[in-house]
Amino acid sequence: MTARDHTAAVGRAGVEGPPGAVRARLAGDTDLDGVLAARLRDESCRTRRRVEDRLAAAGYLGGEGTACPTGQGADDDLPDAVDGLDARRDLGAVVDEHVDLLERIDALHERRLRSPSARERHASTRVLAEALHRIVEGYEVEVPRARGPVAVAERVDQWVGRALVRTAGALGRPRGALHWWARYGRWTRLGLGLVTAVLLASGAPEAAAVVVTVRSVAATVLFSPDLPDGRPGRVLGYDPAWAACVCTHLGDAAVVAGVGLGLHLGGHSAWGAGAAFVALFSLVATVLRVASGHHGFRLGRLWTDRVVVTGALTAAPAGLAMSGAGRPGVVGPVPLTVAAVAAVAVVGVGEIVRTVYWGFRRRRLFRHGPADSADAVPHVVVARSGDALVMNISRRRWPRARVLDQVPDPGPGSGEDGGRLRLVGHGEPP
Amino acid sequence: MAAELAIARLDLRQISLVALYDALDGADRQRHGHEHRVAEAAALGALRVAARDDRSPAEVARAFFGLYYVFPNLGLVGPFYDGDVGALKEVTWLSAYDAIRSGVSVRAEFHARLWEDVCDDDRRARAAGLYVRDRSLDSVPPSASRLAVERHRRRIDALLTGSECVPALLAQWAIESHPRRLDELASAEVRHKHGLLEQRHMAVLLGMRPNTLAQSLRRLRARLGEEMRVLWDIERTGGLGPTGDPDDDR
Repeated sequence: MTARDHTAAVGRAGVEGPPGAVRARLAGDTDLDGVLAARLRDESCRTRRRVEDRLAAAGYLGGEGTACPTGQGADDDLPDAVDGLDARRDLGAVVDEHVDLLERIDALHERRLRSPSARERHASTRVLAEALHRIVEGYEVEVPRARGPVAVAERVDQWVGRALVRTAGALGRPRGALHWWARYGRWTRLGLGLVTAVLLASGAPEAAAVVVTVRSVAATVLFSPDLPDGRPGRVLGYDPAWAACVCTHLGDAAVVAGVGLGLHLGGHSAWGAGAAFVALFSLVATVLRVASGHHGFRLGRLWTDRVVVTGALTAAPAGLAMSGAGRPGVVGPVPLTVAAVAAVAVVGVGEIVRTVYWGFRRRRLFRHGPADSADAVPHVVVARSGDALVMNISRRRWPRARVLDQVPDPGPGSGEDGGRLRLVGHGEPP
Repeated sequence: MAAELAIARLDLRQISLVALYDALDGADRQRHGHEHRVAEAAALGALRVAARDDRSPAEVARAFFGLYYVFPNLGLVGPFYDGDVGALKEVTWLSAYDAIRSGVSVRAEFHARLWEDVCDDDRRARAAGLYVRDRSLDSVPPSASRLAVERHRRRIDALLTGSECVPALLAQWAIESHPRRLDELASAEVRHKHGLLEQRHMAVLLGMRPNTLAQSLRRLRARLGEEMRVLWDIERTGGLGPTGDPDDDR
């Protein structure tokens, strides 16, 4: 831009009038009346603290509010360079890292949508989901550790999960059946649960026991964490994990409600009402746990819950079948069924207690976190809802945790030209 | 010689005292009275060699701040101050008032106040919008698809929001958009006393070396331009599927 464009430049910047007039006004408008002086004094009092912080950070102001000696020359005005601070804040690297992160996220989106390999699409989705979760939550996802009996229960639950996964892997399950169950298992669970409820309500507990046993065995043996989704489903925003969650818990509630009807038909109306209440209660408890995800919790379903509920749902219709008319039954008519329903109720109570417990733990974390470290609170969060790209620009000190987990470069002789992304977490239904 | 140039022979603290002594309250006047009398005498001596002027030394000193502190930074006024020259003038006088009381150089006070305003989120957002439009970063080729345009804007936004040196970039751009900023600042009297917020002053306020800031700004600018070029290249070539068939659908 040349000097001839000067007027245009000033006009664009919004300054009133041509520069000559502005200059003349600045030279002539020098009145300082009492009102303006009072306003200056007030403004100084109001904003002095922030300006002093700036001056102190730049080295113009001493630690006790005293001015650092400054000379008359411009060079003398500048304090000595702050090497340590500068080394920590390599802004070029920060910019590069932002761009690098954006490019990686774009690449992951690209792979998630367009890769010909279903496995790669799935892996990209998982990495992306974890990365976005970390961005939303802040670069450091601080997970409060459980203590005491809760920690013991967590360890037991993880042990049960590992044992179940090992057992399922050792069974030599047919790949076709696994694939079919991964695609249609959630609907099958819901369907068999509803069929069980109908059979129990129509007075056929034996058939119901068979159906629910088939349901439980199939769900246990053919369990797979991989949940493939089709392209039309993706377009519509269909989430297979969410569908699996809804189908499973609705099916379970239907079975319990059917048991309640069966008890009512068997003449135990009070117990039947209790079972119906438990069906509703377990649904509410599950909804409470799942809805906590909106507040940033990731409370997946416990393995012990799965085991207990699967066992209880299998046992309850069996108990009803054994207590049929004219049969003595090894177990009394009510105790086995009621115990099974009570186990489902206990699981529901456990879910509520678990959600509330982690809520309190996080509140405690939020209360104590900012006191422990001054920069624990993110500075600003920029959210883009278009494709769920969320940036959290925080004021944390360097270095901060990386959003994408990357396995280090294996070395020049390995044949790979760089690090690779590490998968985090499992795609289990909640 | 113009009166404003003549009074520039005083040091900055003396000019501040002459200009803003009337704004001090009673206690401060008592504290800085002797200093003010010395400064006033020096100002009268300096003005003797200047062209005839009816203004008092205080008015001349305030005009000095208007011409050499407000005017060179007028580029900042538009984007950050909504075009209000008066606001910047008051910031200058306020800085002189604070400089008298704190002992810090009025230039440092002025730059710290400017930086405080430049870093203000609302002002910065307004200036960033103007910057994007001015640098043609918001322009798109007519063939670009809506998704491509959205992606481009998203990346530019993320870059501008995520970089810590953005206030410096915006301030630098705002100053550069006022090409006569250096007029009359090179004369011997005001060469070391003008209030133009230069890049090296921003570097100090950012807590880094001037070279580092210059390098960061250069890279950020280059990155913004490169982003735009790469993006359009990708969009141009990436519209086709792997087989070159636009309808290729896996």
